[in-house]
Amino acid sequence: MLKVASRCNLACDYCYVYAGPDQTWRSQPTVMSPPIVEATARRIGEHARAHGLSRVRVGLHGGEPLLAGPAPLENVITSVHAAMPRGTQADLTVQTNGVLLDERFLTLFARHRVRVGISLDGGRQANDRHRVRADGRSSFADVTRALSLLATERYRPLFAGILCAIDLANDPLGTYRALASYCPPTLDFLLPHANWSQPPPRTRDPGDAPYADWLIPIFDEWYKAPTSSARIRLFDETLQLMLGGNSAIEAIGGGPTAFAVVQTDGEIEAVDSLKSAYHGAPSTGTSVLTHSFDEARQHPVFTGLQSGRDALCATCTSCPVVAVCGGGQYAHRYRAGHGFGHPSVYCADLSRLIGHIAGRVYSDLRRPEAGSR
Amino acid sequence: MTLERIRQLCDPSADLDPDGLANRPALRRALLRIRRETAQGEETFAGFNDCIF
Repeated sequence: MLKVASRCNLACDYCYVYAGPDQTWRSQPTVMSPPIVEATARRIGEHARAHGLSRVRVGLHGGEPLLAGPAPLENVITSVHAAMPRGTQADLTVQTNGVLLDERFLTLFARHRVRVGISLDGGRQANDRHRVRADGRSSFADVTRALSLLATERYRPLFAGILCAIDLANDPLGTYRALASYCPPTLDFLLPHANWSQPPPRTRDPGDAPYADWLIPIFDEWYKAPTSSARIRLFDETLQLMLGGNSAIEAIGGGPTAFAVVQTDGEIEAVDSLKSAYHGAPSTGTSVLTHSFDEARQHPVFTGLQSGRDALCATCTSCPVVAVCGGGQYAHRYRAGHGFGHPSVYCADLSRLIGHIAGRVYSDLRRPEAGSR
Repeated sequence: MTLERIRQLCDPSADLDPDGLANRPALRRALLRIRRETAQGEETFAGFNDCIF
């Protein structure tokens, strides 16, 4: 995950990069310089060669990655492709707030087959609850203009999907339908980054699982749909785990992570959702200028993330739901002074959601008409 | 029964048709993905959550 720009043109009040306890962005260069780009590309190629990888996924991330500008972004893209050893394919995606996404960028991304993910929290009212500019102005019109460009025949193949951060104040089905109206191939609903020391909003009722209650109506509408609509990543991965497969995302399943973040100054970090835990949480003190990714991953923060289910606490390992939830997202297990050896702060929500999905799926699998010839 | 049925549906060598689950596209997609991954012996790692791939 390449942090090609370390600043943002929005001021979302829930942002784990700028509004959380980690403030390392303040000392980062605003964009990744050409020497850092070259060193990063070389390290990715070195890693692919060392491990015989046939495919590498590279995400262009920020901050807002489009703030880097078209020419510097093209340099990142071409440098990564050029550094790949023979037989390794680099798949690139950019995750943007969409505000700056125009024909210039889309032409560039089309030329290099870079797929585009958009961050949007629903309709105008839902989105503008958090995703506004520093002066409070809405970002909605600019993002929907970008989405209408992505809907055109020329750019549609680039559209990777939409990420939506959940806000309980928004109507779940209204949010889902608003996002689905842009016909994204994939949608995902993200639990707001939170932990036991900075918990998400909820009541004091121990049986309270408001995020599950928010997601369940969406699951039901999505699951009952007679034709294949947008893939909802969280639900797809939950179904996958429930049927004995693996999850491809860190939010669920507890699989070992296999990615690193490179900051604009070249520092190699672990997943940056850890920034929501404490200042410097993802830091490793390694850099693409001096370390390979294999050297960086010897750092204890990577060891924990790559331990997968071995890193789980006793409460989780003795729980029947762990086969699916995997303890939830690593950053959500944190408690100040005690580290990450806890269930997710969303444990009750994950448990209720998984139980609901399991009920629906298993009853379908029992149907006599569902399956064999 | 359910576990046995899941194993049958996910077994890439089984002569079963997950398309029979026509009224549940999401379920069919998951089953087909597992059969494909099982057949190819793919190892899956957890990817970055704050980016949509």
